[in-house]
Amino acid sequence: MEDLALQFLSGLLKSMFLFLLASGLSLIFGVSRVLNITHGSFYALGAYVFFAATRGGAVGIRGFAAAVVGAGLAIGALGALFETLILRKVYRGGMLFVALVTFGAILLIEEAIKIIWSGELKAVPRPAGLDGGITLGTHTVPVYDVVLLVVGTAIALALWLVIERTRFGLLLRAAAFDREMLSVLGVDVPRLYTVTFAGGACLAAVAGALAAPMVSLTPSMGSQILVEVFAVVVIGGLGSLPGSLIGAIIVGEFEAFGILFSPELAMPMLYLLMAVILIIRPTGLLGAPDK
Amino acid sequence: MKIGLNRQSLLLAACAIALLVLPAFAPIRYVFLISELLIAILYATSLNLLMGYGGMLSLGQAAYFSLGAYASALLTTRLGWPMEAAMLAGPLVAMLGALVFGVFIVRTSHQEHAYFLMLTLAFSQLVYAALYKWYSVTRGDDGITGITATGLLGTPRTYCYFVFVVVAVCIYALRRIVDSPFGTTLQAIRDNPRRAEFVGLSVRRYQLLAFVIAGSFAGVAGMLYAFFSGTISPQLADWSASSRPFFANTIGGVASFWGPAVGVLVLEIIDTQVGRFTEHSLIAVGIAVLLVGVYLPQGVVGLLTGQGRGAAPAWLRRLTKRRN
Repeated sequence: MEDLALQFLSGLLKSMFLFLLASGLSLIFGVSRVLNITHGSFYALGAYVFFAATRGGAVGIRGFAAAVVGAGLAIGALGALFETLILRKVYRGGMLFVALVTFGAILLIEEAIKIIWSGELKAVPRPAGLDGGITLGTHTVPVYDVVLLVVGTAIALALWLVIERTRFGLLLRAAAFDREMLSVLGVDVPRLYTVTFAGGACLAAVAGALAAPMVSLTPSMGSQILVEVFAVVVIGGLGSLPGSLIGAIIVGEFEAFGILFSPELAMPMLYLLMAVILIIRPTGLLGAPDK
Repeated sequence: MKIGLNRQSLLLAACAIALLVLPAFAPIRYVFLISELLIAILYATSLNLLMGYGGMLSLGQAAYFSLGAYASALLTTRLGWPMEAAMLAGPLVAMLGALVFGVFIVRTSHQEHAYFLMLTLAFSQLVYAALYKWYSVTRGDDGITGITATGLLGTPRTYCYFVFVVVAVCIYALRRIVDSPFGTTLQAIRDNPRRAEFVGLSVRRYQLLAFVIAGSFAGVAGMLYAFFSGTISPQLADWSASSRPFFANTIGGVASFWGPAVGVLVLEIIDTQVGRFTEHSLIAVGIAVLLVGVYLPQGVVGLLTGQGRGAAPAWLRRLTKRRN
């Protein structure tokens, strides 16, 4: 029983990372109809910037928080730059060219990581003060895991508040509904695209920075998680935030328990689940139906 | 201005004669290069059936390439099938794979091609994971070694001729397919899926058929590659392997039948020339991709034939037009 609870916890943790990535991907798609294939690379960059900021050593809680926020801001700025300099020029070209440049950017980022940090595995220790464990019966849960769950929940709540309760969120929802009308009403839609894209990149980088102490850093870590994030949004429905949440929990828990029962079959089963959901609902559980 | 039929035929004939003469006399490393490029051209052209003619953007063509390669390799090395039978079976397995995955892929919502992109990538990563983890069959990361062509095809020069003949036949078949009523219908669906549906076409069925055909020809390329290289590994199915034909198509130009072939040559030039200075030649590929995306939507073929950005054909504008 306790084993199952622990497995559930590790699944939730994975779901949190997937949600941070999927929500950004979904928001960007909802607002500007761009499938950002580079999203996973922003996650990888977040982890590497965190690694650079902490010099790969253990830092205190404040240093840790600063490094996470710093990684988010730096990659958010990079996202804004990428959006204004390149992506904006190909919106008119449609999905073919959007896919092309966001795919090409993965190559650039992965090679840049190899040049700056070499292709070897990198590891980051847990921050000092958060490296202990909480004893639950016969098992120990790392404090860091619990902190992550709290931080992740806080970010998700903040995201929901921003979208549902602020003027900016109102604009985001309006843009997803009818971009042209919004632009006619005098809203600076291109700037909205830039801000959304930067925000999504920032979320992905924060996820990467938070994940850094738990995973080994490799240049291809971004494209690896990207496929799982795609599974999340395909299951939950692209463009829907609650869909991202449900999809993330399904995928995260599916992986956690799948590994418990059959490590080899966990991934194929996930794809099978994805296929079944697509047969029942081609746009995912909460996605908008085709117009 | 369009390249006239005559000039294009002349160019093709010149290429064919060069490819008939060169493998017999050229230094052996060029013989290898020719085989490799021909295989890459077939691989990229198979994807053009989807991207250029079907308006379907696939990030997972490597799945079918590697299925063809692994199936024929496993059948000869592990099960001792004769080479000829394995060569025929490889593409059939790729076709089957494309059919099974394709059923789900074409079923999805087609908004902005996003689901299509995500699913093709996801299924190719599934193939990658299977090749990587199913050690007892695929030998995982060790890959499969000792795949040899035997008999008449046993030397690099004769194998190069074999590749030439197979690729030429396949390219001819693809050309016939895109010019056939099926190809025309596919282009009609690409131009306006809704109208195609209203006139009674089964859009999904046509798209599935195109997907299976493209997968099968990618499987032929994979089979040719397995016997050419002798060693294959799961890397063949990774997303970065899928990016090659995708980039070849867009760099060369999806609006033209020969665009992917031109794109393969451009990528090869970038690799070898930049590769002389640095091992990070992928940076140059990435930059080339961004430049083409921003400045050359018609690709290099568009540049060569003098069609600038403004002259994009109506269907390309429509395929790429942003719908609200």
